[in-house]
Amino acid sequence: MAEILLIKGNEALAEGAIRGGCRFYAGYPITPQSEILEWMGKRQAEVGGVFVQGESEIASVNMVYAARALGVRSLTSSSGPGFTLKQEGIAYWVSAEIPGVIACVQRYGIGDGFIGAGQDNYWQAIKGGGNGDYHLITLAPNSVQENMDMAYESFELAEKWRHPVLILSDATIGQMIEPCEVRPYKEYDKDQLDWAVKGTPIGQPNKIVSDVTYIEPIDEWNEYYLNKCRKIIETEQRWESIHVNDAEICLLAYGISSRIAEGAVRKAREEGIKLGLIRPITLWPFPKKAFSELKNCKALVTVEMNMMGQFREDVILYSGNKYPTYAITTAYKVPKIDDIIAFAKKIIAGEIEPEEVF
Amino acid sequence: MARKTAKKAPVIMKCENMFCAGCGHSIFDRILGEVLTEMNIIQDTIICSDIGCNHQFQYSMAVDVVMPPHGKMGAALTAMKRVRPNKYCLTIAGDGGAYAIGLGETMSAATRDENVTFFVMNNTCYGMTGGQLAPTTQIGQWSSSTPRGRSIEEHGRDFDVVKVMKNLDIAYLARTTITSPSEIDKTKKAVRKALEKQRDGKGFSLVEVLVPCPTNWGMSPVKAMEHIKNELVPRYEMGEIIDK
Ligand SMILES: Cc1ncc(C[n+]2csc(CCOP(=O)(O)OP(=O)(O)O)c2C)c(N)n1
Ligand code: SF4
Repeated sequence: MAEILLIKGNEALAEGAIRGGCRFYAGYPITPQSEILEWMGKRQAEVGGVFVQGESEIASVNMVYAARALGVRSLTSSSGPGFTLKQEGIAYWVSAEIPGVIACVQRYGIGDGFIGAGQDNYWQAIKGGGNGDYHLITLAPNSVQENMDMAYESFELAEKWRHPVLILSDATIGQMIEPCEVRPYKEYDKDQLDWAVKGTPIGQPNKIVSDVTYIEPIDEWNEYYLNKCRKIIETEQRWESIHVNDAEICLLAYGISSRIAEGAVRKAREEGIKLGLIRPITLWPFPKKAFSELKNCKALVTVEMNMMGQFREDVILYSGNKYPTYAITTAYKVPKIDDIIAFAKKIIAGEIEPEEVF
Repeated sequence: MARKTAKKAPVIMKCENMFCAGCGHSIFDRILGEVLTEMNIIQDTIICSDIGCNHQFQYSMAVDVVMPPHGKMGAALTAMKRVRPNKYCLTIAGDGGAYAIGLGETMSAATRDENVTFFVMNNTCYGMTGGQLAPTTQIGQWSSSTPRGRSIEEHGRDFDVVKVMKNLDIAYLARTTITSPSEIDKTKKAVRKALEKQRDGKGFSLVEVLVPCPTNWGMSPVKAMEHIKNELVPRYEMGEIIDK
């Protein structure tokens, strides 16, 4: 029988990574993700992996670059300003096609910000973050179990595309404790990838893992890269739909907000209000296919923990701007079910306009 | 009488290098290539490239390479050595990379005494970007971003790795140059020794090599060598400083 642990979200993420074959971790302490670092400090030694507490987020992200370049499944994690410091390094992962995995446990605020939950890293996480044309394959867990499962599969997903994967969690998911089914250990041989650097004898072609700038004919590489991104967009969209077909008002939310939004859908339905929910599981690629399930929709409403409705912008973009699109933005406060329902009622009554929310 | 001919390039050198005429990087790469070949460790070596003129070793040397962002070799080497402890993990670094943008990572690798090797090319300027001020630019020296010469008041003091690392618990620290066959020989010995320290698990090793950048110094290759001999060597502590 599968082992069930009562465990924190951050710990589940770290354990999921370990079980998924992660044998190198580097990170730097920052609340609310430090449990990932601490768990790795204990567990890597137990499974024969390597744990390094880097001298900074910049060092840590580049350690992961190098460990992954040498073939080892590798993870780093951070939050807020630490995630910001990693952006340069992540851009190099993309350019060098390093299938590294990073977890960002979002905390709220600009600059140093606060240590509690937020969802205001959306723009930074989804729109690139570093320089150049890229998005990261972004998974958005909304439970402790998903923290475990997404970390568990993230390495294969990254390797499949030779493209980094971001697990965009948040302080609430990271800190809460839920029962979680533990996955079996995956075997992974660090020598199995032909592109990984291991040392080459004279007479065989040597390997260079480097930013694309220095090695590839750029036009060909660009074409290859764009095609890869197109294929990711086509094949990796994931979402969950709850009462979407007949929804008059469809909520869109990811992460912790989607848990509340789901509660709002169920409660509203008891009152006869036809609410539905599209919950993106991948934020990039954005699951735009989900919109084809809408049949009677009159309005879209995002529920998100920031001030400016960052996620709403993408909902407008990917839905083709076909619906009035509102945002319930709660900054550092976790949204409330009754507030969402009250907001929906106001839309039905024609009392609010979907103008910019800030 | 047998005529003296140039020694054949070691097998690791797969083609001519791409540096400017008289560039010190080309001489250093040849030295390193000879040592790796003579020690028979090419297949066990992974070079962590910096970004700078120095990175062009990649085009002429048949050896595996990982290139992180500019200056981040201290972090990358730490990870490389730990996940593949049987490999020789080393960098050919610029003085801008190792001592300015990457100083934190360089020092952290050194203070942790990671079992990795730094070869730092001190050409007293940023070569690749056009000869701007580097931490190693000498007081009074012209650079393209200090056109009136470096002054302590305006630009701060210069950086001397020996002063900084002298008291660290590391395995090997040396400063050499390449201005004559005998100096090249000393450099080669230091390169070999640094790699032997790594082989023996002794810890962090760093060899700084004073090299010319004739292009940005605005000098002929011969003048640039004389400049090192007459202007730089007298200001620096040379030779083996730490040898554990
Ligand atoms: C983050 C970042 N900043 C700046 C640069 C531009 N840049 C490329 S090489 C270089 C300096 C090179 O000087 P040095 O490290 O001394 O090496 P050299 O060219 O002399 O070998 C700089 C600043 C860069 N590539 N990345
Ligand atoms: S600019 Fe200077 S450091 Fe760069 S290749 Fe030319 S001589 Fe060498």
